[in-house]
Amino acid sequence: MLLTTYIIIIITGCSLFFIGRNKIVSISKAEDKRPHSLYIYYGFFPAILGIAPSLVLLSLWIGFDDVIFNQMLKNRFPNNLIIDGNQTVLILIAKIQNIASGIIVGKPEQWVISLAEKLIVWRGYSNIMIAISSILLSVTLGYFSLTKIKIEFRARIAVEKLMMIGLVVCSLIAIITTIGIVFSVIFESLRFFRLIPPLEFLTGLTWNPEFEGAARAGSDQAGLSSYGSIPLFVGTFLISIIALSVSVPVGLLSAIYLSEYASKKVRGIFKPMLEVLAGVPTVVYGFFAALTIAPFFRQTGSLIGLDVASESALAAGFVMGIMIIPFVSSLSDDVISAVPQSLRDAALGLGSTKSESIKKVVLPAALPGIVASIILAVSRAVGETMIVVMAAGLAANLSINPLDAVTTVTAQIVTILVGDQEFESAKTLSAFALALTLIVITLILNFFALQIVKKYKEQYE
Amino acid sequence: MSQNIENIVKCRDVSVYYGENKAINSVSIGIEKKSITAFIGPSGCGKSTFLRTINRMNDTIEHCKIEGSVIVDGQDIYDPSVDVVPLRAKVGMVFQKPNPFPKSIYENVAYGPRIHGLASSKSELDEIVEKALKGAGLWNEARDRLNESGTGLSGGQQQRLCIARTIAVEPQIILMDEPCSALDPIATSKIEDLMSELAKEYTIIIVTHSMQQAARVSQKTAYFHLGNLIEYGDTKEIFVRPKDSQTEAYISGKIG
Amino acid sequence: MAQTRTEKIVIDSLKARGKKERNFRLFGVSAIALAVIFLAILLVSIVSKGAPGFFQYYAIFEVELTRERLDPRGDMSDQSLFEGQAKKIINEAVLEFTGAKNRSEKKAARSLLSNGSDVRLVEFVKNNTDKLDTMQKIKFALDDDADSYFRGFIKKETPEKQRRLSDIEISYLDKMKKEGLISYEVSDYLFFGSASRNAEMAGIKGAFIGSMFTLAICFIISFPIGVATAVYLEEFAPKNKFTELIEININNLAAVPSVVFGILGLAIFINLFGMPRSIPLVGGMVLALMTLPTIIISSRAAIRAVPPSIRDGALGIGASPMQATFHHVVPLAIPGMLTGTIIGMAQALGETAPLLMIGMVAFIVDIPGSVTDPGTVLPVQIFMWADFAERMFIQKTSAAIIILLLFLMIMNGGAVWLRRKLERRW
Repeated sequence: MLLTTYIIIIITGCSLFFIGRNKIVSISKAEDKRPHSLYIYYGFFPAILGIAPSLVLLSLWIGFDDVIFNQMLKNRFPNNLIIDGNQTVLILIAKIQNIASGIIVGKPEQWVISLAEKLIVWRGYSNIMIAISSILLSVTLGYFSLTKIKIEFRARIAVEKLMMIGLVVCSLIAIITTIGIVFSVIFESLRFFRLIPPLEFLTGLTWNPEFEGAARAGSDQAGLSSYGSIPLFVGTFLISIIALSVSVPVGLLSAIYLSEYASKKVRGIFKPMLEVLAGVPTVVYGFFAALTIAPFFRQTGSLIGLDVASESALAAGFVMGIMIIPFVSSLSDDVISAVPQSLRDAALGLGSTKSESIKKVVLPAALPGIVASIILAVSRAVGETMIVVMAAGLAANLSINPLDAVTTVTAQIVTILVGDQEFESAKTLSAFALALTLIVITLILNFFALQIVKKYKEQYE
Repeated sequence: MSQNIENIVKCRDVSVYYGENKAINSVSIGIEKKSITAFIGPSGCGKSTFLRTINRMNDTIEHCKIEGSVIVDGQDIYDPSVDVVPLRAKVGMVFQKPNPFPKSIYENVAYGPRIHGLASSKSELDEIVEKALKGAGLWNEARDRLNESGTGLSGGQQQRLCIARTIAVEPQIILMDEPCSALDPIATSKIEDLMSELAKEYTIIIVTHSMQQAARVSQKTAYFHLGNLIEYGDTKEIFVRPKDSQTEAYISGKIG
Repeated sequence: MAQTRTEKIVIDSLKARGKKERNFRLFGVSAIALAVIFLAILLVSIVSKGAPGFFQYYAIFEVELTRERLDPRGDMSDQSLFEGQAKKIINEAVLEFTGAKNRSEKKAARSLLSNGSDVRLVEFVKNNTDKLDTMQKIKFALDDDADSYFRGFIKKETPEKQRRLSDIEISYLDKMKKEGLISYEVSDYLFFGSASRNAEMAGIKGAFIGSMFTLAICFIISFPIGVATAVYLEEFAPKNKFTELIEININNLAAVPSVVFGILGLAIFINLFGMPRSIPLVGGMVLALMTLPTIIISSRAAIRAVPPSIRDGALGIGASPMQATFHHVVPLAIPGMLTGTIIGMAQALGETAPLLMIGMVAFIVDIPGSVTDPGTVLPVQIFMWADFAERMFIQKTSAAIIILLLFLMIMNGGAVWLRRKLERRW
């Protein structure tokens, strides 16, 4: 049904193109005048007006019809219905939707079936309505635009205006995405903070979202589980520190060597090699950490009498460090290369050795940029997910011992949100609160890094 | 070539290649001690390239190859055993564009003595810095702002800071690569005065595109054209009675 | 040639300074060496684990393809074949070969071949109807424990209680080997199989097709929008607070951790719009939003690299700004835009975390036939397999990783090639 509608609209658009074009050709012949614009613009004008708005209408309708149906279903729930742990509104709606699409599990109640039947009817009406209205819109706008076509109609300018609208709308997607992220996170976070006071979330020392039991929205038993996020942040911090202590020295020294010492040829070989490290998917690093590095650390640890957890912060942090090397090295390389040659010449001209000129002149001059690259590396480490999910473990230990298993903010978000979840429970909502803090942290880091880079660039421009 | 008592720099058949391109073609020249020698010529004639061979600054350019011998203070500086560090400490360089380090004035001047370990104490370093700044005629302007950034100075002051930075190491020869080309006339005349002053103690070789400058400050002048040394002799001679028609053409403004 | 004071001090200091210089250089070289070694260890460990994953052990048994037993309804329909006795026929062949007598022996014999052997037999019959009612030698995959035995992961020397195979099972396997029934071949299950709990039957086909659908959606959405945004910001946008806001937004989006995009998808697409979970359509939309900043940023750079003289030339002969842009600037910038897009697509292909959030981690055996069928993608498949303890899954995971890395290499190599090939120098 919907596919047919799409096709009909597109066919309408194509025919509008030819009608418009033929119209201007015949008008121009009849009046023996050249129109303002090229003929094709008189075809494009009705075609764009005929297609674009109705496609937008169609897509929006498809996106939002479920939102409306869900509300309508909710209003029709029986009054005596008990909404508790096993029967949340969302689950009930999902049940009705499943029945409507022909998936019946067990024996549903009568009212559920009748609502599912209603839903099928609504969907049918809705599809017919959307088909009719979008085709109608297409034809109306097409007809209207065809009436505009005259010899003095400035079709090119009109088409360009429409294109400009299209460009602006596209560039708004970035903003809409940001708004989407912010809203999806903030609303749920606010709901979470209604259940768990922000102070407890930010300062609590135990993270234990498991024992949900009857702790539900509206009930007052939320105290069974605890939502103190400190262990997660300590874990994130610990793993980031380990990652940075691998990636910063290796990345920075590589960048220095490649930009200051290496010949073009050597640079041409090793720079791409470093960048390969950035192209490896994180899930591969996670697998590598869990299967190769963690057992290696564990065995080495037991050899020298250390008890290393099988999922240790060290293994995850170390592998994350390897992953981040190219982020540090490539940005540092850029900023080091941006230091003017004249400064190097000045130092060398005074008789500095190469390393003296680098340590005392080039690096201090490039310092802001290097700091920015490290900040960006931190932000990477904080946001990295798969490595910690696969190799750092999920135990929310409050520990700064790198040999222990710890968990991170991102790992918790994933574990909580993977699989089915109830949007009413504090456990699910806590993931959104964690995401909110994660976004705030990375954006602050990013902001500072960009600010520093901007200042730095101005200095040498 | 004029007879001289002591040539501190002696170049014999020096050719410089950038990859396939020959930038300097078999140049032989001797530079007199404690005098000012000017290299002039149209842009792209290789005078800067040649200047940079004297303290091996061309080493920093990839694919740059040098033939012939350059003897500084009795030592062939392209001998494989030679370390560029003491060479450059001996043959300092001032560049076309003032290039102070993004550090304080004090740190700029102290940089050379620090890396070479010329001062054994803080007070000794202070002395060296003061002496160098005085030598560069910058002391009076800079004494109260030693801790301010060197990049905050005016163009002429920056160039004098660079000169101070160079003489703080107490080199024997100072190479100047068009040191005034980025400066206004007043700053230029200050630097020129300074050069004459410095020539009492140091051997100065200056590359300039300004014939008037060469005439004003130098004792000897060498005219380069397309990588060749066309004429070399006393400045007065060259400007009054050029032997070579190309030199005459350049000096009278026909080429350049 | 008297030495001045400076000269003397400098020459004296040379030894120590030369040493420092060499040390510093050594640090640099060792940093690069370390990074390269890390890369080498990563690749070697994956390749060495993964290479055997491309192969597996098969056993060849001769079975009688009795028509009545295999196709009881006689119409060769799927239903009829399903009702047939494929499993029984195979088991009979195995039992006959092993000569298993009592209950436990029979059980041991039956456990040696893969659970999916009957499906394989049915497939064979379907494709070779003419071979019905004959004896045929057919290759069946070994069960993963039996496979592990031949690979040497399960050893005879281990006490029986501590290994996953019993003595009887091992003796049967040895017999098969002795009689030449066992062959070690390229694993067809890896390439043509789908998700399975049985390691020997698990394959990447479903995940691969899911990845392709997801990537296609991602490209269809992000490329036009990214290019349009870049064109607008570079060519038409007035310099004001609003465009500045858009730019800040794009930079920030590039910094947002990928897992957050998963949350966006979960909260907006699935929860608010009521789209189904686990479908490539939603996955592609989420990845599109994630790759959008990469595409916008590289497209802008590509547009900026087109010299203004070309734009001016077009404007100078009376083209409208829109015409100058779309007739001249954009075509010249397309190679750069495509390069950025391919790199963005490669990122999307390797991305895992956001897809976990929107349910693409579900266990789905069916191979998706469209973008609205539930499915998974390669990296998520790798993530799921990595969780299974069976030895063979580790190998299959590594093999899947090798395939994923190969695709990424091809894409990135393509981007480099495109850049070199189509790059213009002005």
